[in-house]
Amino acid sequence: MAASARSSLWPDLSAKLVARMLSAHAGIGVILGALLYIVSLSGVLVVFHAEFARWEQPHIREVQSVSPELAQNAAQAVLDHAQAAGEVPHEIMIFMPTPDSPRLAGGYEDRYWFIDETATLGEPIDHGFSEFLIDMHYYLHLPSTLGLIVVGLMGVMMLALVLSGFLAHPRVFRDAFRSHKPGNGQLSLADRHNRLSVWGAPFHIMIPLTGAALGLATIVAVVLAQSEPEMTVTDMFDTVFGAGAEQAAPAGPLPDAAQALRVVERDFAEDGLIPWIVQIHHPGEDEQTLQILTAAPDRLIFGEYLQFSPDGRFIGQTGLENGEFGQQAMASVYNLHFGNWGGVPIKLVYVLLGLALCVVCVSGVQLWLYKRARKKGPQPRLERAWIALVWGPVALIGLCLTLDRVFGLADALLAPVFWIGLIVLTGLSQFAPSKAGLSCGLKLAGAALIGIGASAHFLAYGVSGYQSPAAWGVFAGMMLSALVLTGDALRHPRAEATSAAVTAE
Amino acid sequence: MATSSITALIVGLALGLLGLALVRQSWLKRQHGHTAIMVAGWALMAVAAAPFVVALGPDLGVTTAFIAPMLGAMTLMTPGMSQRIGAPAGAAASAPQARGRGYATLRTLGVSVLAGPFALGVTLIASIALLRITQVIGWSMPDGLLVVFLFAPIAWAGLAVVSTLEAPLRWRTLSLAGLAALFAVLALCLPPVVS
Repeated sequence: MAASARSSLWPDLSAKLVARMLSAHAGIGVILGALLYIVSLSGVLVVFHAEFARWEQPHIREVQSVSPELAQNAAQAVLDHAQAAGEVPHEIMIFMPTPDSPRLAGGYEDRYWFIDETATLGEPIDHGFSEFLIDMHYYLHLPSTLGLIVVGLMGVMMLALVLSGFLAHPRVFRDAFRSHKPGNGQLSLADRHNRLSVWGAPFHIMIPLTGAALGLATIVAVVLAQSEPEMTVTDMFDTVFGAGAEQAAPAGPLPDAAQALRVVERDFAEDGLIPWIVQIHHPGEDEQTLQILTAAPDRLIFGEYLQFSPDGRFIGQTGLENGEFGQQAMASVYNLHFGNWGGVPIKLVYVLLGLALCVVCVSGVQLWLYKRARKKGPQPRLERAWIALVWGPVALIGLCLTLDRVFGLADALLAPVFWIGLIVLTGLSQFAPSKAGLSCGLKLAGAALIGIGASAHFLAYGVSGYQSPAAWGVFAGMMLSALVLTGDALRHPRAEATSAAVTAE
Repeated sequence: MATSSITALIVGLALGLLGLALVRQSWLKRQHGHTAIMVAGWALMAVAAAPFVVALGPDLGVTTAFIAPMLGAMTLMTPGMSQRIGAPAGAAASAPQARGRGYATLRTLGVSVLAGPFALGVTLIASIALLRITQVIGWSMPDGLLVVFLFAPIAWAGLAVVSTLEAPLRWRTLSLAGLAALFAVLALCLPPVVS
């Protein structure tokens, strides 16, 4: 090609290195492709986890703010409830209304309730479906530490794929705008894979890097603590995220959270900090302490910890907002990963870029299947299994939604349904009469199940029950997804037939 | 949001997209001299970060400056990607070979161990050395930890790529073992971290 004959700014890599990189790229991608896709797909959904949570209980009254006195009374109500039940909570948390979750809630250990304007504990928080999605993305439903490590490993391997991908395709930047005629089989597929990879590169590097950093931080800290005799894991994280309030009060009335909240409103509003979580350690007991985690909606950091004396005087802050560069950067990793920093528009951008990442994962394996078919002949089993692994999770998430919303299936059973279902679907896919039919069937099943789950939820609460705008947004998003899936499924057989005709020619 | 911030956002967006348009223009003219226009395009995309920073602050501004051209380019490329792609053509070159399948499985397992636990081990040893280096040169603990936490995934990813290269397995194993030894010696030579 004339273009490639010209001298270029890009350095040339040796053909041997490129071949080796391509082999590394394909090896990692094929072995982990399905898991990377599931982590990416669940990541797309988890971007809206706060909205999903609001959708699950759409009738809860939403407020923009509550008075400091109400928050104090809410903390007292939670403590009274615990004492009446004969329990001694280690920590009470009151969740103040924030733009992402404009509801007052509170509780202790793993028991939380919504709290009304009279500081009465109301309906227990029940976010079974959104927690199912979050657990899938954070842990792939494995036990938490193991899951974090495995998902961290996925992030690392995704980084390895980006690295080997760029080294394996030295022309990928030179061809950043190249697009073969659509429908041109493998070339079009390679175009899709390469162009999305190039233009999404900053996102494709940032997401696995921040995800892997979050996932591997614990294991790295444990090893560092073992190697440094004077440091523990707690010391390490305390230097970044603080050790909590130091001034403790004796047993008796709760610390004055109301006064502390007034201080936050008066002295920190200018810095863009708003109260988020009131934390009282050892409430009512000896050495009770008070800390308020604030949110910073105008910053990339997730928030800032403020410590208070028992009578509500400001003692100090951790420094996530204005401390060392390392503290501020580490406090930004979470929001940067989850797109939780610019409201709904940024979340939508993350969804688009996340879907592009899913397409890159899927098209990468599909390219490998193309090449394998050319070398070794048709691979119907592998191709069917891959179709089941791509569209199966969509259908199974729809199934879990329906089981949760229509049949009230226990939350603990959603994960087994998903994973056992995926194995069964992959096995059953071998008996599908055609690949097109399999793909079409799974998409239609996904669309139907998502539609049924969303509609059942809507009918259960009714228009008057949908008090949260987020609930309407999630409902609309689900119905739109069902429509898109249906449209895609119905378009599929026609395209498949055209492709077969072209191949025959 | 203040009017000045909205103006800055619009200016940033315009600069970013103009830069993208220039880069595309340079690509279309790639058979002739196009370096100047390409450099100008990338420079504009970089300069677009400034108004975003003015409007949104340094952290949000830089992040948004990355997002704008990404979305613009993807929108530009979408029409060429929207048509469905057919299933793989089934032109067989040869029948699958059964011989050596067991050996290949063992080899894949070996490579997985090398790219997984072994590369992680090397990364962790390197992390210890790196944290000690940051303390020796006088960085604060949060800065040092940030570097280590970001270094670990990148290093593991790099080592995973080296582990999966098409090269003799013993060569790859020795490379990783050599790196582990090097970082271990380095860590041992540096003083432990004092809290």
